Amino acid sequence: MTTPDRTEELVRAMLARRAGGTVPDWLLAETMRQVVQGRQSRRRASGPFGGPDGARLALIAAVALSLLALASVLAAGAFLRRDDDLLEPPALVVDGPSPSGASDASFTPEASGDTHFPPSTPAAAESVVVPATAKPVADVLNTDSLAVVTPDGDGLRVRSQPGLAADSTRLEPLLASGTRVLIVGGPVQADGFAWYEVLVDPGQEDLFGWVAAGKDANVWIRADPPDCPDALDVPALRATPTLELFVCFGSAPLTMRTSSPLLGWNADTGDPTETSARPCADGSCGEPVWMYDTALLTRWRDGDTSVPAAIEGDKLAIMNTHGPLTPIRVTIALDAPSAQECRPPERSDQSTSEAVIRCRLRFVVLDAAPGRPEVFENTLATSDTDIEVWGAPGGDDANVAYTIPAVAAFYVDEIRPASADDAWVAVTPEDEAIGAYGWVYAGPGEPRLQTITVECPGPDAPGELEALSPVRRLVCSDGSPVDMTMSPPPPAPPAP
Amino acid sequence: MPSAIVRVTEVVDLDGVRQVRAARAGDAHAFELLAGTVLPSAYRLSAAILGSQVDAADATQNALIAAWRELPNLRNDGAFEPWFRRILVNECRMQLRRRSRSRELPNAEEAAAVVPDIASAAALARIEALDSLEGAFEQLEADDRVVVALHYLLDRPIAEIADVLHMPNGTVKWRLHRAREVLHRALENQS
Repeated sequence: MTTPDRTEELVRAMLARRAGGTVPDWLLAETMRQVVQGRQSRRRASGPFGGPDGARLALIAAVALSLLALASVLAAGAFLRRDDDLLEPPALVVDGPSPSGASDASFTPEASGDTHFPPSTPAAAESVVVPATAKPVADVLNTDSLAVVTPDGDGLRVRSQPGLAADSTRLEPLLASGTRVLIVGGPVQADGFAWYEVLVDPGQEDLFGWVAAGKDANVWIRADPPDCPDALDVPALRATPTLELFVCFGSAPLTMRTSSPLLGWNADTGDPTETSARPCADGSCGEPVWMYDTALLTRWRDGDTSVPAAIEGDKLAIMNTHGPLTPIRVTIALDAPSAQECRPPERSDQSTSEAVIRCRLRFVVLDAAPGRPEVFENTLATSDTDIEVWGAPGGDDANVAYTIPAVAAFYVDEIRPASADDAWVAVTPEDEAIGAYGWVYAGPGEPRLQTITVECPGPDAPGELEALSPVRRLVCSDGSPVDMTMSPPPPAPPAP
Repeated sequence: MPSAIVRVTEVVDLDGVRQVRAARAGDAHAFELLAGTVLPSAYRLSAAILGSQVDAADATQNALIAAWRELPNLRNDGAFEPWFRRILVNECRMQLRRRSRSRELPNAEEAAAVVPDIASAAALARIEALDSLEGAFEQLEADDRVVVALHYLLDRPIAEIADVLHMPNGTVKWRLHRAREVLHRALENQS
């Protein structure tokens, strides 16, 4: 008789069995390839005049423009940020590195020849000359720092160039109060304003361009210090937005263990450095392609922590040529030196400056090496090749006791790490004829150890547990004491 | 019971809502992060419902592409996951209705992939019970399969399943009860 509880337990087990396969490596990559292919059509369909509602949208836009023009006439002063042509002469004079000291001098690191990174380039606050009668529009904002649009700056315009000239395109949408931006360059003085090159928080509006910092006493963007974690570690990675990590830690490295990335390699050619179809395969990304072709690195045995990262070919080869049972020790960092080489895609209106900052905000794999093969204490394991067993950990060849043949199962009793990448593993073969308790070395290049799933009988079947081998009983009892007698059974009592 | 090593791929939730907004605005990279977040559970659910890893991959892929296409219509940025689950379940239901009954058993290669390498007699008995149960599960109506998988695999509450399937709570309860009876009977007959 099968009880309802037993049925439920078996239904869950059956479903788990059906669902137990590994997600194919190619699935996300292939899906994203199709998504990117379809992106253009989606953009066309949703463009302001490209979809079925285009005429209606055009009408709305025309009405809105008319209202805006009327409002500008009625209340010009209140709409200075939106109607740039009415802006007043500058109240702030910046004495920049320009030989002439002209007011449009640029303080960007590039213009001043200061291209190092990080830490952020301190703005030359001492070089700002403020007329005695004028109030500063704001403190000078540092490159690679965060700023936020103030309530006074609500509706702040982003432009493609610093200044109000015709070649400075007005970008949409306007920035609302509270929008956060990363300061990428500036200040540049033009048309009476101090302009900053900014990347708007990609999670909010995802714009890149120039914004004016304010006018007279009205500050439109102000510094917004980040809430930095104590250290760059996995908890910080999990809890902190990338912009904060970038500002707080710059290019500080973080080492973590991961499995092979979800970046499929070309099975047809067998070249582990050549990726199969990826979003960048159609040439829609910038250069170098590998900087754009990011993969998800999942922390080993931690499904809650993954990070998208760019992986250069040699590191990718290391990661791809090790199976999913070998953890890879990777060192990743934001703001990698290679980010400076990023260039926008062809036929893109993106500037080099934008391409570089977007790359600087990507994690890049700086180093990758195979870690020790993964086995766990109190499990059953095997290997696909013969493995030597030592009488004691330490690697003294004279101490080799016996060999466990390939595919034979053994119990993993203890794992004693020797270094970051290798360990001594205490084992007991399931077949006691092979040998007794001993130590196996597990390190890079050693025969791969693999955990074996043991199907344990339920608690209502103690007889089935007794039928298992001693090491399987040990596994199924989850470490609690069991009869581990491995000597021959006692002789039967004499017949009466 | 110790479990085998499982590769789980999920994205750290730096800010899920922001990713949804960015993806809706056309940012494919943000969508890739979202897709990475839901991929493991989506694949598990569709594999459980469809019983074939090939079909599960197809269903998951179709659902993700549909989600990308429909993302501009998502009203609640914080509800991406249940919204996506609805798309996925619909895709699974369509696949089940399309294919013939004879196609529903997993092929031999896939079936072999889920059998432990080393099996004891007790484990074999359990596998036989699971096989019987799976045979009965394969005979369930598409919606009943979905209800059972959502409830027993993902532990989704009745109300959420009702929302996903656009059914009243009572209908979901009734379907769950009916499916459980069928599965229970299959086990009884097997033993």
